[in-house]
Amino acid sequence: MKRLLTVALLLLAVVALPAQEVVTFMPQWLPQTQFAGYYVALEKGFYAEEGLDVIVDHFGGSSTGTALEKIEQRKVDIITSQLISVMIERERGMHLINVLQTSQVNGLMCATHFPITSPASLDSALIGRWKVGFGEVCDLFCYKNGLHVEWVPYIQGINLFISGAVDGLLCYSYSEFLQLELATGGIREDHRIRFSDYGLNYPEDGLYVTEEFYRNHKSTVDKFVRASRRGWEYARANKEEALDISMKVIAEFNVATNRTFQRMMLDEILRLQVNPLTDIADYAPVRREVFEELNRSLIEAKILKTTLNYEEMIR
Amino acid sequence: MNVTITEEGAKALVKLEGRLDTTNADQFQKDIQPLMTGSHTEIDMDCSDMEYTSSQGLRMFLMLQKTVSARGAKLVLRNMKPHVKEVFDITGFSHIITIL
Amino acid sequence: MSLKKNFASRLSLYVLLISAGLMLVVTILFGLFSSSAMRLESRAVAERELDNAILDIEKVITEVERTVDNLDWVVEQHMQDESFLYLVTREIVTANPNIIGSAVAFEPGFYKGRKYFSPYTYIGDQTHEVHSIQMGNENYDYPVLDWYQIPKLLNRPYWSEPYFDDGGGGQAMSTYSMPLHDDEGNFYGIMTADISLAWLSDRVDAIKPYPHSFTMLIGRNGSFIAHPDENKVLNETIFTVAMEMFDTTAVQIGREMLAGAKGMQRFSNRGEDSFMVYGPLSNGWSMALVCSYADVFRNARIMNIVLGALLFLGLIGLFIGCRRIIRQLTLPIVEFSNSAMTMAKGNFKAAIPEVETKDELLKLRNSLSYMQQSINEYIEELKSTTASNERYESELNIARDIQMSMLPQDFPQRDDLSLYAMVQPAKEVGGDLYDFVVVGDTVYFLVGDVSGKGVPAALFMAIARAAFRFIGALGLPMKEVVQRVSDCLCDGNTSEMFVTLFAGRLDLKTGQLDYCNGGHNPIVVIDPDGKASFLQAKPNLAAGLFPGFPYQDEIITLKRGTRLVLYTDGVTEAERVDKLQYGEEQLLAWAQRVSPDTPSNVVVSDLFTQVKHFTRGADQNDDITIMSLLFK
Repeated sequence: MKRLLTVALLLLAVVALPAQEVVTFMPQWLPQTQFAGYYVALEKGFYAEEGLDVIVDHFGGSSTGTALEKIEQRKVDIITSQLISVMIERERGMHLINVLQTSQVNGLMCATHFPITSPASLDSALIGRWKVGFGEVCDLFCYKNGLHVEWVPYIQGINLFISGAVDGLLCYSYSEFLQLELATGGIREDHRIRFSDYGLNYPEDGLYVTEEFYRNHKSTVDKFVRASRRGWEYARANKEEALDISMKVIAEFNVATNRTFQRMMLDEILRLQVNPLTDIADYAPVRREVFEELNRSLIEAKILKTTLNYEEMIR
Repeated sequence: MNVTITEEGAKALVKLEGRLDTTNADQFQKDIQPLMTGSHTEIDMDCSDMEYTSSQGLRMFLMLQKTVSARGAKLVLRNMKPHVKEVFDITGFSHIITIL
Repeated sequence: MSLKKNFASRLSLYVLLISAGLMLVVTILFGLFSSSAMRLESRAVAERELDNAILDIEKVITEVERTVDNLDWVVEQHMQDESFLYLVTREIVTANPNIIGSAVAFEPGFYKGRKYFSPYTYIGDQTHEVHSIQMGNENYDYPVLDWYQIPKLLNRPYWSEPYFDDGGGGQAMSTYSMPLHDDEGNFYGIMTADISLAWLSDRVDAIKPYPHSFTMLIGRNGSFIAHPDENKVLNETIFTVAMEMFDTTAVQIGREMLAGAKGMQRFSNRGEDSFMVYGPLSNGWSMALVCSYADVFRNARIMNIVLGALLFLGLIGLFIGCRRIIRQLTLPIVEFSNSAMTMAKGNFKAAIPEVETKDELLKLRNSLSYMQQSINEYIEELKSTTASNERYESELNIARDIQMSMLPQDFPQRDDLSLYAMVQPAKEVGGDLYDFVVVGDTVYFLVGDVSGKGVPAALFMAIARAAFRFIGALGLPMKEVVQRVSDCLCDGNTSEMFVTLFAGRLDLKTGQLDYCNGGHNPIVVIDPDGKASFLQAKPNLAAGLFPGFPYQDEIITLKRGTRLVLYTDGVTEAERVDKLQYGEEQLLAWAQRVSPDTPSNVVVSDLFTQVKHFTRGADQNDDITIMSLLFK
């Protein structure tokens, strides 16, 4: 009887004790306040409270291994990525599911050395573009306006533009564009173009996991999502603290940046998270109409071939 | 009383102007000192502008007369105003002093 | 020692204030002038340092460029020899101490069809050993890297923006890239040389014209290549710093520097008044040297403080010295005031201190001395005048006393006679007298006017009266009486005094009047019916002039009720202010108005009043005597 009790207790203990589940998370770029909410959730123990032990990996320096590649290789569990990139990957066979949509407004821009008077201004221009991707919205733009652009692939940074080697540079309103502003003292109003102004306001950043992972670890995913949301909400309410936490992570990875730039990025990221329909950061999932319209546009532009299933991709 | 003495050799011409009363009797006495102590043989006094004389004044004239007579000189008072001559008359001095 | 009461202190204070004011103005002007001169100088110094530093760095840059430029033909020559290409990169690294890495990177597909081929030599940051590798691979996709792509697109040599390279060097560096072209001018690769930024920081740190100066080197994208704060290097741009400083001037400077401008700008470096001189380097970088004006003026400030302290002490010394000297100089004034005080207290012979200088103080002394003298003389004169006045006064008093004592006041109270007389003496006692004696039924009366004044006249009068009383009582005819009285008076009379008189004797039973006039004013006779007239009388001569003069008398008979009014020339010659005299006509007119029965005292008093009214306040210059004799 005594032995049975002991075993029962042990079994109970094993079941009852919360196991710290290990989760590997990789944002799609170098450490920066673009991912502040996640750093905050980690630092403030939101993940730990959900019973998660989160390891954060990063896309780094001159190494060209991306988050998408890593998740394909099953080297990481959860990544951030953009909707369009995921759609493209799905066609290639990698089935990722959106579990949290943080970005509500498209932030892609193009900075130029010449004045933009109409979409046609970009025609025949030499435009710098990340080798690793993220420029599809511009492809849609070019397709819609019948433009032919010569792309110059590069890794990262703004020197390609500053040196005058290219006519324009694709950049994000929260990232390279701010860097350009801080490098030059200000980009002229007519030397920029924001693609969301031209009807291409497709949401970008979100949390993605493989279908398989989702099936096997749904509760884990839910916990991660919950804690991440808390992290973002906390960051929105405590910007300076979020900035401090982010700067710590950045310092660990030796990224060349500064507090002013990171603060500006955080402000812009938080702004892009506000849902234009509700005026609050509600992390609403991508709407079906938007998803299907994007799908159609990508097919038209010959970027995609297949019509994708909304339910399958968006949770 | 203004006393103006002009000498013509040994003759003294004296012009008297104004009043002679107790207030300026002393001054008059000083003014005629040159005639008293001088050696004029004749003293001719023009009294046409002599307005008045008091008894003190009379005394002065008397003293002058006596001094002048003592040294044998002549004293003449001329053209005296009537009311002034009256005083000399009343007091009987007209008999003592030559008044013309 | 209140300032108000102390002349020396007050004057010294004014001198002090004026001096201080002048010094302040001079100091300020000098300060402004010298500070602007120092500003100019500091700018020149800074610019010089900056130019020198830029030259130094340019030298290195040029050397590196030349090293690479000179060896590109070698690459072309020995293109086929792979190992030779590695040698070239080794050569570049070892030839120049500043070069820490070198590579020849070929365009994908150019070199024997390979996607990546880039021989690369570098010096290990920690080990200082020289390593050679082929650096291109999937992980190091050099064709899309800045140092390859940008010069390729620009088609000219390019200095990269500083970056942290972990391809092999493992340190902060900048790369000089030169595009390579074949004979047909086709691009086929890039040749590079890397320089360490650490060296650059060291060189830049050495620029320090002033203790708190610092220098920054800025790339084309505004990022710091060299900065005293290591954390800023590669992390911050000049604009992030400017934004943190909330300083628009800094932003402006940043833009100018990026535009390759050379210049100087004054700005506030976190509250410190500073200035920055900046200038471009040939490769598009820009260098700026920041100096704090506090440093520039530090020495000057110390000097100013010392100068200020000295001036302050000097002014105090000036004040004290001035006060002492002034007090010394004005000592005589104090002594003068003491002398004046002594004089004021009555000692007019008080000593006045001597003065040695020939200035205004001597004038003051002389004035004071002269004043003292004048006062003394005046006092003496005053004393003697007062004394003689007193003597004169006492003499007059004596004369008056004599005169008054001789005027009888016991007027007769008889039925047949009303007699009253009064003398109103003048200041300058003229010597009027009256006298009367009643013997039985005869009344002897006399009114007279003595010619002199003072005591001699009074005595003369006394003699005349005494003589009259004595001689009159003998019962001689009046002419005899007057003659004898005159003879008495002539005796011993050397000063030509005389007395005009009217003497009379009235028999109160018969009314016979014997009278003799001795040069006196004609008396007024008022008939019982009131008609007034002057009594005709021979003038004779005033008494006391000629002894033995044949006086003539007259006799008339008065009716009862006849009044005689006797007077002296004090009445007829009483003057108004305008010198108009009362005159005989007015006297007669008055006499005409007298009522026959009026008592003599009333008559006398009335005439006095008339005369007083007439003269109306003018000084009385002669005695006034009036006698009224009424034969009732």
